[in-house]
Amino acid sequence: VCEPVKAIVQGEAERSPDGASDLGALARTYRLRAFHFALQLVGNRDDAMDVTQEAFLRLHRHWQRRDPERPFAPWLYSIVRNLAIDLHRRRATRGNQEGDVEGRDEGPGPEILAEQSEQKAAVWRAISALPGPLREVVILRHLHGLSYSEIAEAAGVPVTTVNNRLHDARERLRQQLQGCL
Amino acid sequence: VHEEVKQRLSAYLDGELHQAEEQRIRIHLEDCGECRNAYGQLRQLQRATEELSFASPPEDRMQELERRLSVSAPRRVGWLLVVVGAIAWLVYAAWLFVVDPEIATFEKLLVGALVIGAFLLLWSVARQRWLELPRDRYRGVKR
Repeated sequence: VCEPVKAIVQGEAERSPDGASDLGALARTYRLRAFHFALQLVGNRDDAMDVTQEAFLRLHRHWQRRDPERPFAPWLYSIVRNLAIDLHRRRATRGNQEGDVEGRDEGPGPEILAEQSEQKAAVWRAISALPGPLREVVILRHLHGLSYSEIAEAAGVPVTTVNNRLHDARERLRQQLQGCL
Repeated sequence: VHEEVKQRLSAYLDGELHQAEEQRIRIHLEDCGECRNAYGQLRQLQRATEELSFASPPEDRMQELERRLSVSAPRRVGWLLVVVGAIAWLVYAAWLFVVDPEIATFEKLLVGALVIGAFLLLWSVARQRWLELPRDRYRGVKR
């Protein structure tokens, strides 16, 4: 009785036993989280869905070569993150080629929220206005509940960097939202 | 100590500190109103962000994702078998052609020149496409 419980606590249940059907089960479990992470990075449902689909297809392509010791969630989040960055770069390059050199590094607006009360819109706007590296750690920690080591793996940075970025981001948010919380 | 604790409040909130450090901060918070206030605001911030909910995905495209995943495994195996089979047949046919005593040597050389020429043309086109890929403005355009 103890072993399965222990496995779930240690994250064993997320690790990937062989076969595509397991990826199918993981896809069903994680697709909404992947979609929301993509949406929080790219800002519209169509692009977010494209990124989500491509992320799962990439996972599928590399499934046989995966490291079985590597937990699934940070791997998925890192793929979604990289695809969102690629999309952003492609858009920026195309924008520059077409004469739009306005290089704003601001996240999506409150239109991606399901419920838009004034306070929620203000909180999201403040998160969205953070610089990219700070924004992504706040999203992964506050909205997706990843641990520091999982965020470090997903963002490809050391745990101390995650710690410092979260501290900076929260200080900015705390000051910006002081009258609002 | 006060400034040091302020730096660690974020990690304290997330339970990411060692036991001794956590205890040190808990004791400091009991004595320091400013840090207690800052910590309270961090907790409010955490609650406020946890209450955010986001737009749902289009259901038809979620189902499309499952369909694509379910067909992509057999498709990959299928392509692999087709490519391996085709290469094996080509190598076998080339070997039979080369060792066939009824075909004259000059005929073998002419066919060899055609095959090598076609291969070089194909290779050069593929290589050019590969080198131009990063600068292709239409790469992300869906048909």
